Amino acid sequence: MSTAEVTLGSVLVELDEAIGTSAYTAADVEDLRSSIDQQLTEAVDVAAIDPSLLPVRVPKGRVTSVLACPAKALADLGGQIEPIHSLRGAVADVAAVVASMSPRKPLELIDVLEGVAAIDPENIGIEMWRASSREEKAEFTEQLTPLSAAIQRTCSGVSLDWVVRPQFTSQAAFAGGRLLATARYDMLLTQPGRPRSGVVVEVKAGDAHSDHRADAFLYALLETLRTGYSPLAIVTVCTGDPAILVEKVTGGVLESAARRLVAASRILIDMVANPRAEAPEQPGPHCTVCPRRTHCSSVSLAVDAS
Amino acid sequence: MSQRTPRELGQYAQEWARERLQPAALQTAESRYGDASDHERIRLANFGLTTMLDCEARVTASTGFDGWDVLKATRWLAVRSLHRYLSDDGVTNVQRAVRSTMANTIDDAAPDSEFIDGWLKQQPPGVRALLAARSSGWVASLLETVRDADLEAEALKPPPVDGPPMRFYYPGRALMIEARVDGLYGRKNIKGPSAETLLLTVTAPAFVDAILDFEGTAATLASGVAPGFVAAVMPKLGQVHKVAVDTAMIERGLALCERLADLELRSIDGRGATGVARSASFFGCRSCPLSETCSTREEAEAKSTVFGGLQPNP
Ligand code: SF4
Ligand code: SF4
Repeated sequence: MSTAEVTLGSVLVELDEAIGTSAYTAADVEDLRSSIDQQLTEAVDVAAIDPSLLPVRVPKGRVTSVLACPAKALADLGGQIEPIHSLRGAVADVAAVVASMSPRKPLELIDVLEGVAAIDPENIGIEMWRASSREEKAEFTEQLTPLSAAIQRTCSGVSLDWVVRPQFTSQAAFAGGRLLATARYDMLLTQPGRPRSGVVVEVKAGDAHSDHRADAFLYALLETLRTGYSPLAIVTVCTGDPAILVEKVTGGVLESAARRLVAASRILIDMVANPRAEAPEQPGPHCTVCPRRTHCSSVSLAVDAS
Repeated sequence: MSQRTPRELGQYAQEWARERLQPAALQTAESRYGDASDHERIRLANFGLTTMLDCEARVTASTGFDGWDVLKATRWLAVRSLHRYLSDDGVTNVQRAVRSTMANTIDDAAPDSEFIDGWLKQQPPGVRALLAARSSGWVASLLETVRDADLEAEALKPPPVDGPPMRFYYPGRALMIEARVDGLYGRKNIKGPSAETLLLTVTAPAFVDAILDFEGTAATLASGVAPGFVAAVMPKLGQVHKVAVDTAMIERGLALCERLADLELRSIDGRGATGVARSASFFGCRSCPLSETCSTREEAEAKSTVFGGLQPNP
């Protein structure tokens, strides 16, 4: 099959024969869960956190950001996402969902926008759209129509045996509920009549980059902990080439994600327990997009120069 | 205390509800619930309960039913689609069950968007597609969570959608308690409510115990016979939490009803939120009519709880 013909539907057909299998046995999953739990219980116990600040929340995005640079992760908190980026993300998400429902024909951009407005009326991008003039709307339409069409094309061909769950939140509690790890998948696809058929889909309104792979691993871990068996694959749908990336879930993927989750949680536990301490600075390629880069003493000189 | 039979428990719950809720009931209209105006009646149901568990003050500012939206319509469509999927003559594909339920609803729709059928009919294609996706997802979540929790999928029975709603009307007064049932679980050859488990999908695991107490009590009051169990299906955690309906649960459930009734009354008798506990939360405060003037929200927002109240490095 050539790259151009790959759609979510064709990926799911290929994954079909793996349904019912799992990278890990139930006993392996329990071992992994208790190993993470033991390490995080110890970390939370030692940190003696003010109970009013519990539970320590570890959403997926924060794992990536604190592992890159804790100081940047904090600085980024105050930042606002650009309305057009927010709108692009929401259009891509909705386009992916409606296309996965195998409609008779693709939806026009305006229908996709109506969908965004219905589920996320306070989206800053939708507010911007509403407030825009006719000329601005025409400009946005020109920008967003190819995005919506491309994502719908890529997510087409899904059989009605698959059920899509948009914006599905998965949660895993550790240390007796004192630490909550969460992830929100853009889509979770399963065949309700067939056990162990989970496929997590992440939708990007641009190219996929290296962080996405680490994110995919974390999704795989949280889905495994939620259901007791691993998903078949983590699929990233984007507007790059290739437009679909498939990450099969193996034991190695789960163990690597568990290590990252524990490492990020330890940093966060430490930050919450010592609110007056300055968050550690960790230079790297991310310095180029950090709000502190103009005055941070650790800013990577090499990257800065480049 | 010897164990009450399901019927005795039902009677006990109804007698005790009449006694405990009397102070609140006497402040509602002296009429049937349906004949009273919105300002003279109170309805105790799931939405008010979860609001109360999140922030009591927000209940006192509630404006009642403010029309259909995607969230409300998702559950409405999902429960009916689950019914179709699980019925003996049903459709054995979740997506098709949702599509046919939606199509039938729209076909029979009245022009008025006050009712769900009319509202659905007015929705543009993008919104309908999302609704269908969300409802199919809701059904799949319930089915899979029950199966993965090692409960027998065959013992799932269609939720009661055709009969009258499960309600308890306070005699002679405009006070009503409504139970929510998303599915029934029990062996098909054993009949009667006491052999059944009422299933409900719970998306806020933190409140699961109180939600089960309320719903178990409401269902017992409505039918006059206690179900065997109530169970919360929690897809987010992949868990089912099942508890027996007994005297202690009814007592806890009625205490919740009593508190909720007082808060609901405050929204109509002018006492408002004065002296009522407040608790800020991101989504709760966002939709709260009191948020503009609420100091609890302001204080919570001033200290970022995202990282446990940390401020970024200079
Ligand atoms: S400039 Fe680099 S090292 Fe400094 S806070 Fe930002 S990302 Fe971290
Ligand atoms: S603004 Fe928030 S804290 Fe204040 S009453 Fe409303 S929900 Fe409660």
